[in-house]
Amino acid sequence: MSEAFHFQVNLGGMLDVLSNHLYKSPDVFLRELLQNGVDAITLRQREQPGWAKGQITIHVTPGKRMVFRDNGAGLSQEGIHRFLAVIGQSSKTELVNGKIPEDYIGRFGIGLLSCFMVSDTIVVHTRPAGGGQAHVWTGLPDGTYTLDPLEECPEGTAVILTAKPGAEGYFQEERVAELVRYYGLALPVPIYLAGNPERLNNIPTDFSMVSRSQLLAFGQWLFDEEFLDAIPIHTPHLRGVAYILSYATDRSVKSGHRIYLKQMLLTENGDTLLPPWAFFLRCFLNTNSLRPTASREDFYEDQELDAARQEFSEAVRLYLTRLSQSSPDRLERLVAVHSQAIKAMAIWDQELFDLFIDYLPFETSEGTMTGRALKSVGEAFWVGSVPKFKQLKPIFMAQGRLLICTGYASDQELISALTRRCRLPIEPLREDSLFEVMDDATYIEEQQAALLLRQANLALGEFDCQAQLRRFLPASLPSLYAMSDEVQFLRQVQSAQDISSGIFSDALSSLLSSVEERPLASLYLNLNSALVQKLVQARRPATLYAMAQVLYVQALLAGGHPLRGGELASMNEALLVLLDGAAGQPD
Amino acid sequence: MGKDELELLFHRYADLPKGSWERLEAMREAVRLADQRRARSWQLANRYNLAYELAMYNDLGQVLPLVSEYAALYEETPFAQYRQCYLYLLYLALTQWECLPQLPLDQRDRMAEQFRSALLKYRLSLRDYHERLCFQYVREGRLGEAQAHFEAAAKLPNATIHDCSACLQHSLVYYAYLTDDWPEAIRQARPILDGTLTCDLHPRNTLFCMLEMALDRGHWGQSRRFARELEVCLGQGETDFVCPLIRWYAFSSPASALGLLERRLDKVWAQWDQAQRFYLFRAAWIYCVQADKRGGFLTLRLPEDFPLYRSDGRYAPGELAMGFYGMALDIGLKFDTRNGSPWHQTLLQRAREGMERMEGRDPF
Repeated sequence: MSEAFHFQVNLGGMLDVLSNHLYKSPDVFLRELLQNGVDAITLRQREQPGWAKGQITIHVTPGKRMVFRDNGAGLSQEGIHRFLAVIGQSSKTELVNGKIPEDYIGRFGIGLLSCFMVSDTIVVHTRPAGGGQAHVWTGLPDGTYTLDPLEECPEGTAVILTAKPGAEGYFQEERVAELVRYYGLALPVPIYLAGNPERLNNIPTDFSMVSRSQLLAFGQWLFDEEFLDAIPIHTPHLRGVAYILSYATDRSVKSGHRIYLKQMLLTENGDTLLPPWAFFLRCFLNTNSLRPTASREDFYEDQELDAARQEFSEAVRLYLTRLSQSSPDRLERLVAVHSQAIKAMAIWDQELFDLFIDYLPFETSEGTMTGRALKSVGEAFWVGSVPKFKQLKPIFMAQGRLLICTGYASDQELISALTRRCRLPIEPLREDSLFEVMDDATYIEEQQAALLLRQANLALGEFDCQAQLRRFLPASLPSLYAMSDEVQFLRQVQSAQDISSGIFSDALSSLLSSVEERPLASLYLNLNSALVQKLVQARRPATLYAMAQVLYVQALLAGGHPLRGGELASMNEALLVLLDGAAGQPD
Repeated sequence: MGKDELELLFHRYADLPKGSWERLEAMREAVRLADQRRARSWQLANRYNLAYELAMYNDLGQVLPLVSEYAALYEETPFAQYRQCYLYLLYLALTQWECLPQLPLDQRDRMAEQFRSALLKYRLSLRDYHERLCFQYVREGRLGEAQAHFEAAAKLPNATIHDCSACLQHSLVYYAYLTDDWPEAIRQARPILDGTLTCDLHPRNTLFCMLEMALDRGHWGQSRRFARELEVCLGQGETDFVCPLIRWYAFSSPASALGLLERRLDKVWAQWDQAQRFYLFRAAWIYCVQADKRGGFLTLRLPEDFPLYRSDGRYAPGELAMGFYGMALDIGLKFDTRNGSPWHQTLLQRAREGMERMEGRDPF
């Protein structure tokens, strides 16, 4: 039979890891003390039903010492050996019906060690509330401890810390009060600074019974800013308030929530609990039923967390639905500020889509239009690229036809959904749709422009583009570039070839050379344009050749198409030719 | 517009329906903007996603420029987090010789060597390399070399690219399909068809192969069985993997074949992937031959640049059959001329023989 050995543990080293590397900041020592104090009081309440005098008092000797006292259950000698001196052993891990009772905050048995981040010793005076001998326990960071009987000690527990060099800042009343409010604002147990009768943590326990103005006032006090509105959250997993920011923001900006677990602050980061579209909210929430991670700085991902997230989304949605009925002007103001967030919500939530689509703004050739306006506008096209939209906008405007820009995040899905649900005549703009907004040139006009077209086609031949005459509005737009999917692909092949080498370059060459008849993109020259009319009259081939190249590159840039290597160079050469021509050569 | 907008664009296209025109446009826009911003990780990620989208849902024949660009960018920033995508794209590049007959074989050998060198450099399994060459050599009539690569692949338990059990099993089915070994195909397909091994691609791919082989042999019962399973697997509205179903419906349900043919033709007509066009034209030929035997005209929607296009949509099926056969043969000859092997012409011949065996039989 094999001989059994025990793991060798460097307790001092482990204490160092737990204390200095598990937690993000030394601040958490106070959170851990609050947690232990509240749990001790909770335990006493269980053991003595009807007892309701629990409180925590903190005595601070500035820069030197802190005594953190609770009048909870206290610990017996056996309890001290079991729970204070065994890492990972928590008095709160005993199961009730197979679960850890909800009202205990701590569970991992390592919280007290966080005090070594600010103190070189941890001294605990404790007397069990049910009667019994008091003891003093002194723990040292090298992993040793002493335990002695103590004569004078009230029921409950006092933790005595002595500031270690560099941690004196934590041993100031103002700092302690700030941390208590930060971590313990929602705790059900009153917390005082010794000698001060004012409770440090005092907030409503049930937000659903509080008026809107009171909620907004509380939000302003808590977060030091004004909000547009306050949404009470009262669900099986969550209680609190979601405040609507009064300014547009972005999901990359961290909103600084206050999220509590069993009334103890767990995190300011809403990424785990809140849905991604909630970046326009700042939340004050408490949960009693979600699981924390080992460091107690975030939530554990499980089904309960999923359920909580769903509940939150539902609560916000319900509130906004009611707002649309009771105060539509307030809803409009809200949408005006947070349209991007709402659009992101409306994509996946059908009811939110129905609720908001009438108010949501979309960029069009007629300016900003809401979904409500688009429902009655009749025929329209949409284009999924912002540069392309900007290029085509003047044409559509001039012709009184509607073009919708869906190049922004969420817009394309919303317009597609709107089109489908309301059976609107709104279509994506493809190349063949362009003929809707252009007229052919007459035969005579084609004849008159023969020289221009000949030179333009010579100039554009190397770019697989053909020049065509059309008439379209606005007249200020001299040319428009358009290409089919096939041309787009071949352009991409050529662009890829520009940066490729070796086998890739050779394979791309083979691909290009195999195309027997290369399809051509089109550069539409606008006969309504004064510039093009002048070019039609011009007789100098070199000028026409150069101008065609300039108009080509200009149209590419306006359409947001990336330029290939030779195109920019061609434009530069063309400009030189034009300059030479302008320097005294009659046309 | 900053990097966060690039992330929003990613989420936008990720949520659009796979294979849709909107999704492709959004991905192209994302590539363009990433290039404009010179955001390297997004330049690579968006190109990879677009290449994957094209390969899986749209047109495999369009991925080469994306792969080339990715490779060029990767060479500048060969960081480990981009490696797996790079290797997958090299694998996709190698598949181009199966869909683009205009690419010469000597370039294929160089691309294969590039893929192999990359796998060796990162100490990864060569199984995908061996399998791909095995499949291509079968089509080129180099059966001895194909067998050697097959055996080399079989010795390697894991793959780098297609590393799930179902994909590894399917490669055995696919080899049997390519070499027209029906008993071996049945044997190797069993664990996929009975549901023991599944993934996103299987049993769909496997059923495709099995139905093709059953039709080539004129096996009614097997064809009916595999056709029904493939129908269930694909679901409504699917237009990929449907060519053998068109061949089956040509005998069992002509109306279903017509609708499927129209939808598949819409998708494939303008594709660069000539293999997909070959399989569709072959299936359409079989359907039209059977329609011709039934008599009457066909009313169907064809692309405006289809050689026999009519604005009224009414066609003589015999004429269409010849048209589709001609187009299939034209593509097949391009591949076979390059490959030096009559493999595609053989596929046409097998389809004809299978059709003759199926004719006149009660489909039920």
